[in-house]
Amino acid sequence: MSEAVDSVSVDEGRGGGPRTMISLQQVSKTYPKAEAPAVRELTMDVPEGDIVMLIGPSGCGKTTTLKMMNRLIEPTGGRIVLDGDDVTDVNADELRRRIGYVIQQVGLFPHLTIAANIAVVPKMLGWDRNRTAKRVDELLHLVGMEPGQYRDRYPRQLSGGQAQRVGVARGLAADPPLMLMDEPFGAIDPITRERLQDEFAGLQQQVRKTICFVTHDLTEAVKLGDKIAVFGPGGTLEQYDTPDEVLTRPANEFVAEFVGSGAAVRRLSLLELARLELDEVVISTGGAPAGNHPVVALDDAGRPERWLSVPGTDQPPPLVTVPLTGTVYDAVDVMLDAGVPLVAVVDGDGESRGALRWQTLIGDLRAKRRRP
Amino acid sequence: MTATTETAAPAAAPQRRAWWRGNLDLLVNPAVVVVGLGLVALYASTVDFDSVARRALNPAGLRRQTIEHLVLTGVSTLIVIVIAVPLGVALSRDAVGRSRGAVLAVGGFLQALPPLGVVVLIGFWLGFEPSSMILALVLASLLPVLTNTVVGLRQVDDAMIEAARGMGMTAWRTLLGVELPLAIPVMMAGIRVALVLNVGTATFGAFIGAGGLGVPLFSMLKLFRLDAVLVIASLVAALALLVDWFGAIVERLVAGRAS
Amino acid sequence: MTFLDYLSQEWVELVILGRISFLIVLYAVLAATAVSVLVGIALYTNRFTPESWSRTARKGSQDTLLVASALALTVPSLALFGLLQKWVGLGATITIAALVIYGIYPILRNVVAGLNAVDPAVLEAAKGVGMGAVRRMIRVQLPLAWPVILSGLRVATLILIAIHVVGGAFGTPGYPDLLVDGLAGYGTPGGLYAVVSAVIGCVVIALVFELVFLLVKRLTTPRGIRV
Repeated sequence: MSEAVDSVSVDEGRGGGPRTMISLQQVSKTYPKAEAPAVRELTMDVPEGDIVMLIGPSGCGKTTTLKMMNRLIEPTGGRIVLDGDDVTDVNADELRRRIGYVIQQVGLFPHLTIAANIAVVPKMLGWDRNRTAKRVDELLHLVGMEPGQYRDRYPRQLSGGQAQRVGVARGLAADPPLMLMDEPFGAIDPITRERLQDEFAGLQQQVRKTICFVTHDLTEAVKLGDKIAVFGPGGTLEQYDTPDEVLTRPANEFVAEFVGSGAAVRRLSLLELARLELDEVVISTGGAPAGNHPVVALDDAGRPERWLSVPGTDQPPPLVTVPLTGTVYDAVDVMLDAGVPLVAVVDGDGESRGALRWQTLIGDLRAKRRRP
Repeated sequence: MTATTETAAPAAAPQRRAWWRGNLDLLVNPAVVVVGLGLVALYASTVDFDSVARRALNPAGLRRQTIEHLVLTGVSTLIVIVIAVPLGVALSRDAVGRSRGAVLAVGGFLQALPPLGVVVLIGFWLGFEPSSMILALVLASLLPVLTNTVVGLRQVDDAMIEAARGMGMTAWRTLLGVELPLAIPVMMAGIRVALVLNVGTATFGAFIGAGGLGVPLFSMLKLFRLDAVLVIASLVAALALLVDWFGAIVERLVAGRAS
Repeated sequence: MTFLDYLSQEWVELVILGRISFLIVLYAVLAATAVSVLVGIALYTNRFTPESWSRTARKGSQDTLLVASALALTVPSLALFGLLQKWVGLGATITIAALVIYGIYPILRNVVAGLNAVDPAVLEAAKGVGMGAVRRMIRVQLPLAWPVILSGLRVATLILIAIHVVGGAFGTPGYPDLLVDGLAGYGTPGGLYAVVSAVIGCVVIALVFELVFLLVKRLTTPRGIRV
């Protein structure tokens, strides 16, 4: 994967764009004896290095779609091209060894140790013992489990969260370019789930895999996805876009309804202030300031103390702050609470990093690219 | 027998179709009996039985011996159920604790007792008569039924029992309304196996004057009339299958009412 | 002569006979296991019916085949031995042959049940990581079904020990021979003692098998699924 492509550009525009890792072309699946297809002429390209979240109501074909990618389910129409090869041309078992696979029920082999579970694919690929052992330890580290402590344990000695960490490690074992994940955190308690999601996001920063991820949890989809594919009843792809677009501009009524009436508010809590283009704040150096920007006076420690002027108001409102680590939701909460049209955003040292204004919020809120 | 095998017995009837479609599998057993007996009859019709064999195969005698055979198995099975099920329930209570394992383990070994030897020993001890044979059959099948009753009851999900108690059911009611119905498949598996084996074992009754189909079977065996042996053996086998079928129907009825 | 006198006098002989009986049952159990595992795998993967058949038909045929193998249990033992002598002659062979026939169902039933009980999620994971059908069977399904198969083996062994003495009427050496000899000389104390020894001997053999199974279980059950 080319670093250059990834680090450029703040915009949505991506020049030539990254390569397509897996491409679904007019893919259909009709189960025997079923009248309607489970998946209907689906066309979708997954760019290399992206997480694509497949989401939709039950029975919408999202899991079927995922399983067609590694041919656990054979499509009845169309083509699936993985990294340039039509998946139906290659041996299914060999294909699956090239694709990581993580499922909700984890499916660790209960009779094998954790290390042996992770080593299944490398062993089938004929890696030597040393390389495999090294890889196992590396992966255990990666998913936050101490190899010395867990290597020789058995699956039933793990908690649900630990088991799924091992499941993810097993999926990553042979360093597959593509990972398929079927509601991996679906059966885990909410607190652990959130932690696993955070860890997973961090993990993805390191490994940069192309990931197709089935979920029924919109919050999870928005949190983890670079793109979201919303499936509708009858196995159709209703919208395939960035989380932001899906939330703000649902393609049709179905998506709008699926995303829900609370979408706008939901979005607020998902927008981290650190990832927004904040309103510029002019720090008063004594002289009379100008332009369209609010002016703030600092105290002795260099922290914002009070507004000197705020455009659009005669009397500057009292100054309130939110930390940069908060979300837009926090900012709105503070604004409503204090009855002010803007908040100052401060970093860990209390220094000003900008402001968030009510007008911007309801007007033109622009998120930076998700990945720093 | 062990409980482990009876995992998926009644679970495979999700839709409520006409009752006979759901119970179609119950027809397999009598069909096998009819086809099997038909084949044997076909074969027997080609055989020219001599007078010795013909005497052993006369219908009136066979009918009487079949009834004797059924009485031996039926009475012994009833006694076994009356003894083993309450005993199994008692043994399955939590209060029994560790001795349960010991009882079941000893019970396991005793299954290795050869019925042939046991039958003859009991015959000489208590006399050559049907009641001795019934005692021998009871001894032979008590343990499988007991074991399966205990195992069947112990494998009932604790959560179900807790839920029943939590709703205010008495211990007695929980046993009758929850535990026993849920344990029925495993228990019936044990009872049916015991029944089937008993039908075969009952042929040894011929050795101690208890009658049954064993009498013509062994006289023909001794005289090396193997075609006649085949005919009688298939009668015994058919009897065993029908008894097992009866067990299956009872199981279906009991389980059906429970669910 | 008391029973104890009999025992001390015949001790060596009884041990030798026991060893013969043990081996006869062992061979039968091993053969029945081999047959049952192969047939069980075929039944489980439904290799006996064409894939074009409907699901119910295939499931039904699987059940029917299982019932068919249970038929053997309904045939009275002496009759089965008697009929078998036509083909396999007398001696130890006839007993081993009959025991294999009796042993298949209890083992087969557990092979199928054990394979059916393997967690579908584990199977999906095995497929998902690219294991082929054979590798899946050997590496995942059989090891996981093994404890259930083993318990079927134990039950079968007990039944076979109980049945094997019937071979005495057909010239099978070991406790079968001892028992039938004893029956012939029943009026004499020696006859009675012989019968009692043969019966107790069977329980002792069962005990030995139990120890063997305990050992096999410890050695062959993967640690991760030991209870």
